[in-house]
Amino acid sequence: MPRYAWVLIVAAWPAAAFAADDAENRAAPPTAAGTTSLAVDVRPGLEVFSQYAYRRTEHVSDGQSWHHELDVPRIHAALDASADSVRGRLVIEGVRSASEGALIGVAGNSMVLRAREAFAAYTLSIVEGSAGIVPKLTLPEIDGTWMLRAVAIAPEEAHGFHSPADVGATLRATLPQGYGFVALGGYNGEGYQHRELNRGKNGEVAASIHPVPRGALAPLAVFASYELGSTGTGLARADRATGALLWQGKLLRAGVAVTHAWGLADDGSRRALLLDAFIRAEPVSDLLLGARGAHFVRDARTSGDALTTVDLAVGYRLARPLEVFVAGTRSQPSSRAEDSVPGSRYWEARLVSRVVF
Amino acid sequence: MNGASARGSREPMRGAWLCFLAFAGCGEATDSARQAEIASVITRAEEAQIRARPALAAGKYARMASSLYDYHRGSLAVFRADFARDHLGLAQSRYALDHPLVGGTGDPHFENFGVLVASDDTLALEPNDFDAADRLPYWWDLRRLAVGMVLAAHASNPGAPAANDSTVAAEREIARAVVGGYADALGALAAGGSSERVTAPGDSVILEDAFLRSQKDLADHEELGELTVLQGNHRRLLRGPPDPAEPSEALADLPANVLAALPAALERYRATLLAPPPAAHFLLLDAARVFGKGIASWPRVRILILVRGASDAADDDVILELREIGDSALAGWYPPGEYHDSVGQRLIATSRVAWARPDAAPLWGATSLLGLPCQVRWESEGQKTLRVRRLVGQLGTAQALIALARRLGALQARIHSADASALWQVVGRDPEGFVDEHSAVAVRYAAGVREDFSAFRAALDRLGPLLGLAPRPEDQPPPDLAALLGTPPSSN
Repeated sequence: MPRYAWVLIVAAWPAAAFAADDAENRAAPPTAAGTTSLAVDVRPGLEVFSQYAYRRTEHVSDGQSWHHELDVPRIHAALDASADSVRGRLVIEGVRSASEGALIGVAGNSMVLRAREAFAAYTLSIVEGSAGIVPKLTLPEIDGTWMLRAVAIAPEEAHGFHSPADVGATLRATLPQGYGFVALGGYNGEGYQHRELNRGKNGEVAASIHPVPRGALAPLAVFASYELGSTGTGLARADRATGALLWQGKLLRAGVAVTHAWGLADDGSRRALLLDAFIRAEPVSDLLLGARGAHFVRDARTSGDALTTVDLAVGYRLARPLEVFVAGTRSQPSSRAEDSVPGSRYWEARLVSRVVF
Repeated sequence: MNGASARGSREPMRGAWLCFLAFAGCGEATDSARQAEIASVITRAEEAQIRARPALAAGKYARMASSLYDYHRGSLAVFRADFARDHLGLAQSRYALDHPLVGGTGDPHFENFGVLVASDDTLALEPNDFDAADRLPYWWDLRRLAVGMVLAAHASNPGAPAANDSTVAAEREIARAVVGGYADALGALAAGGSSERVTAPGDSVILEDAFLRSQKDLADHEELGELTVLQGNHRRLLRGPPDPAEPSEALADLPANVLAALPAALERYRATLLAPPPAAHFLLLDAARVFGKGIASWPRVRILILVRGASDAADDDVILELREIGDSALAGWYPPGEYHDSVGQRLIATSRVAWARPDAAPLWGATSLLGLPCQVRWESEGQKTLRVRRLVGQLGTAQALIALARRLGALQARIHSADASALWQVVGRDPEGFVDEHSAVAVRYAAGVREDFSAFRAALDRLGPLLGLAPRPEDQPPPDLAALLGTPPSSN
């Protein structure tokens, strides 16, 4: 045998030897990811937001202060794979290793990677079941209608009403003929950022119905969800009811959502309300316009404890994977809310870019 | 869709509904929302500590459950959560001033003040705990201090109900004295007055007691007698409980790798001092792990270090206390959200601004030990901390607490004095209303803390010694860190 043939055999051996689905007469590889013959069907992806933000904070009695910062608010890398009725997805996100105000992080306060989604899904007819770190049912529907996450985080997430993902499982039935979906979910209840802290598990039920799935009103959806939950070691109540009217068109997307919380931020007796309205339009090709307003009643048991935010944005799609935006935010607390959260009255201007593959 | 597939799609749906209903039924609710909130807030704030050092965390919670004042000391996370949602009106104020954030101590209360010995050996009353010190709204500090003084009144004269009742009856006057002392001092500072260094007790019998005992024990080097033994010409730290009456407080041997790391840690510490003594001053003679001290810091690493001092003579040996410190957990109000470069820098910056003079405690510095940020200070019986347990008899009267409250209020104003003009613009509009409002909130919130204390104890009974959080085997720290953390005597 020529010498180069041995070289080829040796070079090709690892791939052949570590095929997890061909482990006869030998041990399977210690970690099987990427070793099966289906590995060629894996699709990578990424999404990155980068921004320059200038914030001018107004103070109760002493003028204003300002701060500006370059930031990378989203770093997502994804691997998505499917074969027959099976689907798997892994999303890794970059986050600061210490929370706001903390000085002790990883290697200073470096960006670190953590799992945002990691699940297997199996589809049987119209029903798909997913298990792992799964996207929950409410926030993805609202955020997925807004489609301008680079411009403004959903207030339902920002104010702690809903988490985008959690450790658990979902069952989703896609209704035929475009009528929408109904779904169930069960989770730990602490969100994907935290470990489980109690024996209580959260249950979520949601439905998004397109009452007229054909014709001009096809984008119209009526969404409702209810989450029965608890949080923290004390099992503080954390129930949520959300109702939304959504318009999921190609060039025009909009929504009005109302969420009521029984229990928020570990206080099970607290009642809070969130009103959220948004619109995203593409009036001419590649020109993106967005507006969002939210009114957060921090504690419905008392009066005058509220925070209102308005976001406006103009963007342009420079190329298919790349969008740039100029965005502005106004945060306007009530007097009571401002006392509790100093610095919550501000203007913010941002230059944002989003690239997605 | 054919019949088979339609049937196939309905069967899983029916099963799914049944599963969902059973699953959601696992959700539990507690009878007391406040009890649940306290447990959840504390465990969320201290989750890493509970998971990595459960025996130490359990010791802290047991200590918090032992007395109202200890609960107050250990529950700063609850205070923060209550401020964030304005529980009992804790955050709301007609005199709010969210800018500038003042350099504050974050957790000012009766037992976080004490006598310190300055570089010229003079004594002064100063704040002596900077674990939570950071930039914060001024009324956070003020209300925390006033609440603590009201709770100190409730904790006074424990064996004498009549005396306790008499002091408690004056709780509003005590709170008013704190706020009034603060307002008066702030007005004087805003008018250009100089910062007062409290070097004499004035009309406070509580301060008189602290100063007298400090002077006596400073001269006697009392700490060397209490914490060390002389073996020939050499001194070493005791092992076991220094005070047999308090067996939970004990000194234990350190692992060899920690002992080996201490000289470098001391050298880093020396570099943070304003006027560092020669390196030979900090020659390591002995060191011991300390268990069972503090309340909020109960689970943290605490080490007593015996160093050479000015000479080789055993009678001028110096004991230092090295203690792990963490984040203040109070920052992040508005951008940039982090107000210091590191934990050590936060400690140094906040303490030297808070004191009447930067050399108020010349051996107070920062270092790191095996990656843990640490504070180092002189362990001296000549630096008495104010203690609630001493509020008995003459020291526990309403008059005694009112006199001290005014002094502490004034001292807190001095701590905020860098922004005195901005603060006085708000306070000076209506000083009397200012006193009325803040003192009323303090009394109201202190009543809430007393209820919270019961709720905390009930939560501890119901949820267990770690408030319901169950560490897993994989939460255990690596062996070298586990050896440093050690096992508290009560867990043996």
